[in-house]
Amino acid sequence: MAAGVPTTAEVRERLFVDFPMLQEIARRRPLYVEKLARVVRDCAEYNERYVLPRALEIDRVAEKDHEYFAWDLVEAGLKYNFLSLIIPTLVGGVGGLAVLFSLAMEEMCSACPGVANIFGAHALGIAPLLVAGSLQHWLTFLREVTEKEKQGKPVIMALAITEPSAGTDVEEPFFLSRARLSMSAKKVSGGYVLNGRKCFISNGSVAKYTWVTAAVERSRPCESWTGFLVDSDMEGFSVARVEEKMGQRACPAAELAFEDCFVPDENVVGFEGEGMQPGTLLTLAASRAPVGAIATGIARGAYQWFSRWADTARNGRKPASDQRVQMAMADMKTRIQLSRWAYLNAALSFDNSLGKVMTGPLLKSMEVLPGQVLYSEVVRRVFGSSFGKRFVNALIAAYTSSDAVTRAMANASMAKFVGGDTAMYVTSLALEHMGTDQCEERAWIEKAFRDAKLTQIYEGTNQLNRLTLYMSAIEGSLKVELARVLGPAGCGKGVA
Amino acid sequence: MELTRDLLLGEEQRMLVESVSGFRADVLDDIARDIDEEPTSGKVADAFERAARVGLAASLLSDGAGGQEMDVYSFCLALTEVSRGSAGFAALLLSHNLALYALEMAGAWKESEELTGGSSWAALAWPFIAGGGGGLAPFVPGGGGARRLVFLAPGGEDIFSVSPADEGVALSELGFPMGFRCSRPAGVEYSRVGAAAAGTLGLEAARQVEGMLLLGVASIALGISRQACEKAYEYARERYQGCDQVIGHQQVRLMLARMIAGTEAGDALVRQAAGGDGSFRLASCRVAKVVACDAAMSASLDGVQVHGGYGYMRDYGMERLMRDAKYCQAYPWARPNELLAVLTDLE
Ligand SMILES: Cc1cc2nc3c(=O)[nH]c(=O)nc-3n(C[C@H](O)[C@H](O)[C@H](O)COP(=O)(O)OP(=O)(O)OC[C@H]3O[C@@H](n4cnc5c(N)ncnc54)[C@H](O)[C@@H]3O)c2cc1C
Repeated sequence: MAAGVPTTAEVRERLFVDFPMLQEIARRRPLYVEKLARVVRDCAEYNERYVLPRALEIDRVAEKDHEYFAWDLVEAGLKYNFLSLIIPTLVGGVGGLAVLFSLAMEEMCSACPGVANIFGAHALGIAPLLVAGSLQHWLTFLREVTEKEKQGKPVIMALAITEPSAGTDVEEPFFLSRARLSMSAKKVSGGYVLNGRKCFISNGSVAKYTWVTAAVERSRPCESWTGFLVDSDMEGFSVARVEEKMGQRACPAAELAFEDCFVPDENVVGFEGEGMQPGTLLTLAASRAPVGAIATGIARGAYQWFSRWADTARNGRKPASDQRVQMAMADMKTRIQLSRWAYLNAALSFDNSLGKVMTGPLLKSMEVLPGQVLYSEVVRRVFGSSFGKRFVNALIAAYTSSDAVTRAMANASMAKFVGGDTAMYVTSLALEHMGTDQCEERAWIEKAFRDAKLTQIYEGTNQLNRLTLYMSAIEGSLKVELARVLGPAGCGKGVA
Repeated sequence: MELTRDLLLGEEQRMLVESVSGFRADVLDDIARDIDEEPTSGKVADAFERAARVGLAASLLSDGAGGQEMDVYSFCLALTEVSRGSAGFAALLLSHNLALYALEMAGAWKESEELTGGSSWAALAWPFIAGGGGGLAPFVPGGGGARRLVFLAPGGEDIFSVSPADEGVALSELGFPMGFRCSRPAGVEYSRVGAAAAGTLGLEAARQVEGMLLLGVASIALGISRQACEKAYEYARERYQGCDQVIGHQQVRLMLARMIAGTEAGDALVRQAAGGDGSFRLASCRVAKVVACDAAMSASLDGVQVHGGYGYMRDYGMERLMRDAKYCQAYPWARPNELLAVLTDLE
């Protein structure tokens, strides 16, 4: 809801109120908190200038024309570096981690989760390259994103794990081992040939690069699950259809077809067999806190519209003077605050585990290398080699542990379903109180209600996330295994 | 899926349900998505004409007025069945039938004669909130495209039947409500309640119309719940995930069981509140309405969830159920106000 663009200082104060622990962090790392506030302020400005004036219209246009994509809104986001928020500074990105990105998502989603999810799904496509530590891809693909961003040309990414007959099953190792998969990857000389379909892929129809998973051996899907970076120009790749969705329409979801699509060896992310453990699990550990933030932002947006409605007199009386509305608002505010804490807690645990690799001194020290050296063919080859990949794996193992990232994954699952349930609760309750009153506020809250439902489904249904939390934090049977320095990570439920 | 209600139906009621179900299969199922997306396309009018042919456009009118003389519960059953195909279309039929019924009760039948042919519909503009010499009905299903608008003047004594083109009538079709879309809901203002009324309804009859409206919405909600239960159940049996049929997972079974429990509770309350002799206790109608609509809301949300990502896609029809369910909760009164009125009624 339009409220004027706040200053960075105002945002910082608000963040301190919303998340008091940040005040403590600011004492030790003032620049870090300043950066968070600056990014959130940018998001607020972007909402105010570009999104709020257009969001309802885009929702309606995209209902009729589901392939519609607001490139101009993406372009407007380039000056704020929204496509490089989580790309390491080493290759020209903003260098944000889960906390920064989550805060950005909450802010953006308070205006329009559809538009925000373009950047959200883009970051999701980047995440596997970060967590699998495939440095050579940072130097090529991620650098391309940041460079083009500076030139005003968006390069969008996506992540494709869901298949028509395997959704929940491709999000969890134990289920994957018995999933009905349609995708396959066959090793051939110099690369792999992909065949099959992926469905519901956010940004799928507009992305230049998509991280795609497939089993190399059908009989051992989990052990041979591998991540590939597919360029939309590759032969054999096509967009089979763009889905017609109930909400978040500004961000298209597409079915992708792979017909003898050849992907060269250098586009394999990590090692063959690292697609699930650790690839998918680490990616989800990184991305589910931001999904909790997306949901929190939807709830917050709806709450703000509802407050405005409640404060506007109807027939001489403000709804907010009714106790029923006061109670509802108290409940809404509480739930929103709890989901905010849940996602920030999860994001912090990610940043303090795997995130440390990205901000650690070794990678930082590489920033002093001149461009000619850093982006030279030799350096790229070294990091793309088996030795280079093992080196990065060793780095990850040195900075964090399997236990720490498993905890981060469990917290992220908690944040995801707490947030999704909150978004549904708040939007639904708001509409209950408004009756059929047709006003501007209602139009926004109805949209938020439709948008909110998706947050209980994507990134694993809320049911799956509850199971993940149970298995990883209660039963202890699911554990993220870091890529081994020698040989790929194991699979299965992870208890060695 | 046979629920308790089905076992309790009498022969005539069973035949009614079967016949309406035939209408749903022949007419509504194919166009439900289209009329939700393009309510003004002409398909609604065609479907309305077909509904009239099977007696759904004059369900409550007396035999003498060319109607079916349905009892309230049968009307509820019919609405539930229609709603399984399209809740919005059921809302249109409810609004139309009640408008005609109110006119007949008020002895203003002549006003509605032109409407029994089935080529056009009337809409009940209720609740009609008084203000400035006239009043406003903020959300009237069937308002857009209606030939006649029927108001119960504040207080409920007088009844007005006007054409949208008449002096003093301002009709604004609501742009993009997410629910009941094919009924083309409209906001209607009427400034000439001082003019001659079409008839006098009386307070008791006005309460009866209100009760029937509440039970009608409850029945539409039951249609949503039933559809959600059945489609989710079928889907959960077809889909394999997590090493098993989806229905094999205990949490999915729990969701389905909850959906069924809510539907059963709503069914029972509607049946009880509809009574046999057509006289209602308004408080019971309200309770039935709130319970049935809450059940529809939660069943449709769970129904989408059981379908996973497919539930979110328009092709599957599940998302429409949840959009319409939200309007069941909101119409004619906001849910908390409906609940508060239960107590007022009892007092
Ligand atoms: C708009 C949209 C955008 C999306 N974007 C992306 C994207 O960018 N990339 C991507 O890869 N995917 C994406 N997805 C896919 C999304 O992650 C999946 O829809 C989700 O994981 C659920 O999978 P499914 O739809 O196959 O449902 P299913 O797995 O078939 O689940 C159906 C039902 O069964 C339940 N269930 C399944 N297995 C179990 C079990 N073992 N135990 C208990 N219950 C179970 C589920 O909770 C659900 O209620 C998107 C989906 C949508 C709708």
